[in-house]
Amino acid sequence: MADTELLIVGGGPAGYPAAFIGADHGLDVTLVDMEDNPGGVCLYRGCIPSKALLHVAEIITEAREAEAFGLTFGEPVLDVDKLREWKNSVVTKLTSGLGQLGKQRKVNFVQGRATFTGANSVEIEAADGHKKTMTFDNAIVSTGSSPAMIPFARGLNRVMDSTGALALEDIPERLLVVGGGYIGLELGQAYCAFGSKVSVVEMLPNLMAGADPDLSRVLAQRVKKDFEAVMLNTKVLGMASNETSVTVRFEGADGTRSEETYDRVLVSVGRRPNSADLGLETTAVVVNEQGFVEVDNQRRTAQPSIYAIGDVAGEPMLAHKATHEARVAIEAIKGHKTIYDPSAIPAVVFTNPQIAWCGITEREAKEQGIEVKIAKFPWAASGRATTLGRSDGLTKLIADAETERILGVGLVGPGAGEMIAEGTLAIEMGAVAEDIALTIHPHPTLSETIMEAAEAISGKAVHYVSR
Amino acid sequence: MATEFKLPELGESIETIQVLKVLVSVGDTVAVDQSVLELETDKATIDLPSSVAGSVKQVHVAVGDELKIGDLIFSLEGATAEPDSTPTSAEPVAAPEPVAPVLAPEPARPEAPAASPSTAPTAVEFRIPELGESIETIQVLKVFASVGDTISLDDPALELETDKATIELPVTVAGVVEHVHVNAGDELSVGDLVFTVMSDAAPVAAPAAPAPEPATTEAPAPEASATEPTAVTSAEPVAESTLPASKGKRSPAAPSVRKFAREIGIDISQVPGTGPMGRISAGDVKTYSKQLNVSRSAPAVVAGSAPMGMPSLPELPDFGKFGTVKRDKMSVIRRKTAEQMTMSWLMVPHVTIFEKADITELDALRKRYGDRAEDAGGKLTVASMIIKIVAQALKIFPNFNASVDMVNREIIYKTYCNIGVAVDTERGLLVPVIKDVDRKTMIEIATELTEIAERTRSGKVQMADLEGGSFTVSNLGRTAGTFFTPIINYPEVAILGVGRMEIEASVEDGSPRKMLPLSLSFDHRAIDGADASRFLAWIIEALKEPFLLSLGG
Repeated sequence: MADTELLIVGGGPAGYPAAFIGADHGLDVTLVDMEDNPGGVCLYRGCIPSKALLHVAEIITEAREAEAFGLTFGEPVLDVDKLREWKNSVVTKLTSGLGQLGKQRKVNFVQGRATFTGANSVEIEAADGHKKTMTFDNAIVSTGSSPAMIPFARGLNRVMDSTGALALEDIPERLLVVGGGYIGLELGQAYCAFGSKVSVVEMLPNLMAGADPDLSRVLAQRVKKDFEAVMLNTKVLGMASNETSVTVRFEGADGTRSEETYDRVLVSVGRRPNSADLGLETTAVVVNEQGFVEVDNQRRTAQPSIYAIGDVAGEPMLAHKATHEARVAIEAIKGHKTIYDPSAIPAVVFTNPQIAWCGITEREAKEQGIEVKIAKFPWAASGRATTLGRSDGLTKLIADAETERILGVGLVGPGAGEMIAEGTLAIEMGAVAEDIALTIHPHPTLSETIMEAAEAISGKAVHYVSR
Repeated sequence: MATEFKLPELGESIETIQVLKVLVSVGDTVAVDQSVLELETDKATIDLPSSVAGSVKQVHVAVGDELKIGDLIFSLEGATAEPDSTPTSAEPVAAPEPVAPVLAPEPARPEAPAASPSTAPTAVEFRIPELGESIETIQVLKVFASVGDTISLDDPALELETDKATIELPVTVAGVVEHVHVNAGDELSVGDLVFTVMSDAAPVAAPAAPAPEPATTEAPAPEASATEPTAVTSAEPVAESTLPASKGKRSPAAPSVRKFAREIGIDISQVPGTGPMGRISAGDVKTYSKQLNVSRSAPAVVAGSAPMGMPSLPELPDFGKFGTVKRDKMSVIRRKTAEQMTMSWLMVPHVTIFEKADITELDALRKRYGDRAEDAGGKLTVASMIIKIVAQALKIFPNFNASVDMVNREIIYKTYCNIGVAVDTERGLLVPVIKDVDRKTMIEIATELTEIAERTRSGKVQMADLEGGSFTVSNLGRTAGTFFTPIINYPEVAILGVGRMEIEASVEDGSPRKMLPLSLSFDHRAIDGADASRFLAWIIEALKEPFLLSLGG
């Protein structure tokens, strides 16, 4: 008999739900993670601490914008140490809560690093250096991903990745963000609100290249206004740093080269799956060229006793997708007829304004040759948006041209991240635009914009006349 | 944790499954692939192997039960494979939110089968088990054990005479006979007490394996240096192909509906939705699934409902008014024959044409070369030669090797040539199929026909032997009957009936000719009379001049 029925390597938003759900299904579960509690990048160095900082940034921004409503607070005073402490307390509260939940479920939590030594065994090196082997019936690899680093920036003084930026060592006077994706823009906006002069450099012609341009444009306009510089179509050629600053060399689209000096540089050029140094080569597990572990639709790897979920198992690298996969993997282990089969996975960028989308984007519909009807409802026509002083948002529905079934939803504006869940549900349920149009939405809320966009799919929105 | 063993899919178009024998009882330790049930299906009698291993906790079926795919057969303790989880454990588990603390359920710990470590002997009763379908009278001929005898598992206990046969009844308990409750000559029924035995084993039944250790019921424990990685998965992997992901245009169905369809084995993309814009509800999935079942058992016309506005069968009169009657339950094969024949008779427009074939030469050849077939283990019969000739004919007349698809308004032509042969057995009419007849020599066909007919008669025919026919030959035999109107074995489109051979005088020279009456029924939807006439003429010519065959037809 194996030492444990289910061994889970990595306690992030893939691994810890797998441990909990596994225990709830009656499995004897061992969860191995290097931190002292479950949580992973999401809770320790990702979603949660960044949202704590972004919340503070939003308060600063809103307070400033309140001047237009006749409310003036004066210049904010930021105690960085206290902010860091508060952010850390949020992390501790949530991770220790997960530790408790694990204990209540009798999950055997082992702090350490697990390395596979075969199809049914690992060696675990505990935090104190003590090594032991452990056998298992089934294992789940949920080791997540790490920030990618540009080779020439690696190890440079004052060059940080997202982990470093969230550590909040200080508020640099001038900050360069390399990479105009969601991590760079979220953290860039936070530092901008805290007082840094932020520049962003992006190789592609657009910020937030994954989202439809009509959505990302709304964010880009704001970023251009708030940031010191937005450099698109621009390459970073090299960096040099000393004790106090980093000098960065750029090359623009037209080939012109330039050089700027910053107090700190944040490199946010993507994330890489953590599939190396796990001993997976001692198993039949297949790791593809991008470093993702290959899995079937039950998240089972080529080694039937080993599953992989979360970032390490493939795109999109999102916590909520990881948690859903955890359920699939556990049910598969229990022999249920379950598969990973989502119709839509919501993506949320917690910038100001937020961008959120799910299902297909307009561009994907075009690429795949799907005939669609698109309805857009600008938030300028929303009473609620106007009361917030935010009329720059947009709600967009993408429906099948023939059946008017909702295939994609895109939102930009404050609170978009909360609203996208309705769109995801609509897609999963196979709702047609009329279903949403005939569902009474509360007034006055931003969610009405989804209803009105649905009305516009088949006819006319009450509060907006499109030309 | 108890595992359930449910009736798996047995093969395409198997609808009726009846339990002939239950080969396990409570307390038995079963191994994977061990036969646990003997089943009679509409196709054949089969032994059902277990896909799980462990100790039988409860048996949910009895002899005579009619089963459906997915019916619970037995539950096991300490099982090593869980092909299907029980519905209760399939309950979705709440998201990992700080709700009420959830205690980890007891991990599955296999229990020792027949866990009764006590060595104190217990009194165990041995009773008459179910003996078989429709066995009503059981008379004791001999009692093999007497008080004080030590009996062990499978020792003969009684010799019984039943209305079917004389059988030796083995004991299913072991120990010392304490009391014998029957005597020779007694009439017994199922459940009657035979012996009381003082047994060291648990009171339920003796385990099949001697002193099983708990470990034997567990999953093979993975060694630290496991070299056989696949042997250790706790659950049978659900092959990806059996659970297809939604591809291409996704079906408009909610996640719960998609899951439901997946669980009952329905391809959601095939389900027509009744909601707005074809939205699929759980109800639609159920309806579709029901329709599948109905269409699978569509030929159940006999059961009463009449197709296409035909009047249903009138109620039977009360025969009791005219004298005593006895009602016998139809055997499964009888019933399936009734249904299949009724369906074909009602749904397929039959035309039958008759002609005699002169097989004098053929029969001479048969006698001359019969030894060669016998050397190969077969018997060269006229039937086997006809099968070969029919195969040749089907190549030339492909519309006889076809099926009609009225739904799509298509004729389906088969490139293979599998010929079914009607075989009369004790249990009823069965049609084993000789595959790829066109690629076999006459000797091979003769050998195979002899062998498959024998297996069919002895009930040892496999499911696969009864499937895939594309044309049927029905031989009435030598008893009586020249011409008859064979009913097409749907969905085939033709059947050749072979009657009793007769000697007739030749009109030319008065010489005796061996004349074989042939009756060809064909489906007029696919075949016209002129085609049938040419097809039959070709066969008759080939029978008359078998040498033509070797010339290439």
